[in-house]
Amino acid sequence: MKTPAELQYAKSHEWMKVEGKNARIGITDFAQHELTDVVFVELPKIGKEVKAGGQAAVIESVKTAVDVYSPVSGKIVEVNGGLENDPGTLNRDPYGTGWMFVVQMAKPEEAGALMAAADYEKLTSGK
Amino acid sequence: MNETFDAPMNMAIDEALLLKAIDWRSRTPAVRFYDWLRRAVSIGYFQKIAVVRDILKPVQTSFEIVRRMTGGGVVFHGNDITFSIVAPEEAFAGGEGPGKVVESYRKVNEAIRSGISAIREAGSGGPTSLERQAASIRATKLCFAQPTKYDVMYEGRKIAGGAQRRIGGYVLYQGSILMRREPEEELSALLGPTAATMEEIAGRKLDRNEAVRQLRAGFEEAFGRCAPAAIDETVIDQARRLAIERYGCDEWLNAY
Repeated sequence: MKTPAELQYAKSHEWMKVEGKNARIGITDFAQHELTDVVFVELPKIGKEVKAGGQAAVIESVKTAVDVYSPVSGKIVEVNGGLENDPGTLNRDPYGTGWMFVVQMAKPEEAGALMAAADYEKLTSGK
Repeated sequence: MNETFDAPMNMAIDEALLLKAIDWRSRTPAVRFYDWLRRAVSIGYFQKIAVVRDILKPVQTSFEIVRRMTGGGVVFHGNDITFSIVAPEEAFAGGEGPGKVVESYRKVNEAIRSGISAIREAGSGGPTSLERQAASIRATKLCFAQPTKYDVMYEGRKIAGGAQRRIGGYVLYQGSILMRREPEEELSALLGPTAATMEEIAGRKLDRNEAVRQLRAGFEEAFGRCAPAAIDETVIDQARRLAIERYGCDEWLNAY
């Protein structure tokens, strides 16, 4: 299972990459393994306000719709529209072309609550 | 509460039960069996309404159509036993392979297998062979035509359909088991030979209460401790709001 060291991680299995005032967010390799083939993706609308830990997107695999959360509060400024046509990207490249949305952070300090790669690996290794 | 609700309210009660379990951090799986005020068709969260209307075109019968919060395909209600289970994700664990979500279907299907076996044996139908689907097959938009890994099968046909929503570490599982063949020929033809019914497996006419009792026992066996879902006033109040604001709205129905 890949857990790139340069990213931060949420308990609910999202990764986050801080890019200046923005944060790019997707689901982890662990999450996509648990879900298996993702068949549908619903992305948030640009401009939507999200709260840290609040629902931002929905994905479906094996007849199961799963909520995806934003680890930080702010406004959605970019979404990866290509995922809606090719949801399998989430399985093939979760940390790269499978990114889901970008949040302009309202409270950048919230990023401090996320886990480093080593801690996330610990969290998922027992599962 | 044994009242029978319409389609939006049935979906809203399931969501209210899920939200209540999350609020209270409930550990005990809550199982609800329910009926429908009018015949209904429920569709998966992501299903395209236009595709569903196309599927229903040859059918004369009128159905209430409702979009579920769970994934999956089209399910016909009225001649089925519909149920929901709300529980923490861990309650569904126990599969043997990788992919937690696929594995989580196993326990529910074990419960159904055990309930249906008991129903057949009680009617002196003798033991039956309810197979377990070995591999995943994806074919059509109809839930009963899409067996997944742990589906319980009878002579190659699917017995029960199920779909899930996962929020905040909790699962809402919505399932349906066909009691008897759909009475309309065009509907039976639509479903084709893909689904088996409980009456067919039992080899006799079934009483709904008996079927529910045996299935409930099956759930208790598979999940250990589980309780009938408590549909109290708080749940009903919240469900009424959800039925008005979401499940009964065209915006929700036509979302895809």
